[in-house]
Amino acid sequence: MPDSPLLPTLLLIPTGIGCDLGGYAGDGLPAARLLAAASGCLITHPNVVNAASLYWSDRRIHYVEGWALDRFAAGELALAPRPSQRVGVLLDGGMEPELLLRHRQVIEACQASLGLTIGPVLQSEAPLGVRLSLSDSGSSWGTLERPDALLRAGERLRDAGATAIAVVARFPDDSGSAALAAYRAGSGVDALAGAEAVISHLLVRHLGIPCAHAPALLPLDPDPQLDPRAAAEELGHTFLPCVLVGLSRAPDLRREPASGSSLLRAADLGAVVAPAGALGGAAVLACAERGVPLIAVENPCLLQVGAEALGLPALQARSYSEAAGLVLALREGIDPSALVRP
Amino acid sequence: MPGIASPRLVPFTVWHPHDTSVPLRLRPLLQAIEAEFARRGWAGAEPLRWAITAVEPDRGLRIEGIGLQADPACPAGDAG
Repeated sequence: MPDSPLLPTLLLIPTGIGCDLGGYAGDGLPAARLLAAASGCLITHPNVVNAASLYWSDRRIHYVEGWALDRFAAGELALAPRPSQRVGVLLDGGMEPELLLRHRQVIEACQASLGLTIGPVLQSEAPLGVRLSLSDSGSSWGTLERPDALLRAGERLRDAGATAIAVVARFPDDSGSAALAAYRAGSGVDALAGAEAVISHLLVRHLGIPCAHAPALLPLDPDPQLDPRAAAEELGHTFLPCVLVGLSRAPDLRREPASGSSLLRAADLGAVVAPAGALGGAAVLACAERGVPLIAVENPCLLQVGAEALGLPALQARSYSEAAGLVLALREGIDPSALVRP
Repeated sequence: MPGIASPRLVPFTVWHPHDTSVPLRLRPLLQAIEAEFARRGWAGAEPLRWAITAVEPDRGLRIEGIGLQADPACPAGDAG
């Protein structure tokens, strides 16, 4: 490992736009691990690293939900790493008894086998009513019929001592759809991801503490052609373990100007890494506005919102391996332009 | 829950003029979203999640998102 100072780096792989790498079940995790090693400090969002029953815990990776990540990039929030969080769990009041039992057993397993601090656990007063949709661009979106029930349950958890919240919402089963078949075959958009983001954004915005989401679904019939990138979601009965692990070490969110030692601030960012065709998000634009080097990685997706089209300066990388090399160069004070010839 | 006793989530789409010779700034994009909310009568709404999802020579930047509408008394308007 290099001795040079850390280069806090933001890794974004927007959810629900079908990114070839990172658009499935936590299949951005190898890239995140590499970038964490190259930078020494990686800030990324749950969708990149959540792989249902699979997870990778790395102190160099800071797990920050998307709404908070946008505010962090804009300099409105600082991140305060802490040894652990007490993770409250919010279960959708619309879940069937068997699904509820499965999730409660995951919680108990994470307490017993991983030693996580979890609780309280409660159900929303009413079904949250998740509805899925697609935007004109083909990105997955979604809404809730009862956001008020979500927020009230979140308040009860926070008031009872939870310092982070895992939400499990009952998502519509769509086992026969063409979209799901394409996703399982490795060629489609994660139809759940957009709604998941809306749920967690809503809760983080309201409570100001780390939150992340896992969907609850009935199990699918085995598919011998299942794409490896989607396979993590079919290993178990729930998607919750990775969320509990991620939140257990998520940094606190502090409104700027914040005081305290060891805070991570937007001004500390040394690079932002994002898919070359998906540079139109708030975090990337905030970083670009402040002159944080932008590394645009070839990672095909639904969108074609690139650096040239937006008029943004960017370092181009053909892969996440190349992006990691660029991060390492920046960390070592090597001008990336010195590494190539015209 | 101050301000969000009964919030609503409303999808939106906004087109915003774009000139690549001028550095892209966040503020004008947020103002364009706010203006769209005002046009639809979504008083007190704010963008919960949004992104530029297309760039076209004639129409500029397409911004898609989900707005959070705090005031239940306001009409939801069309879904953009």
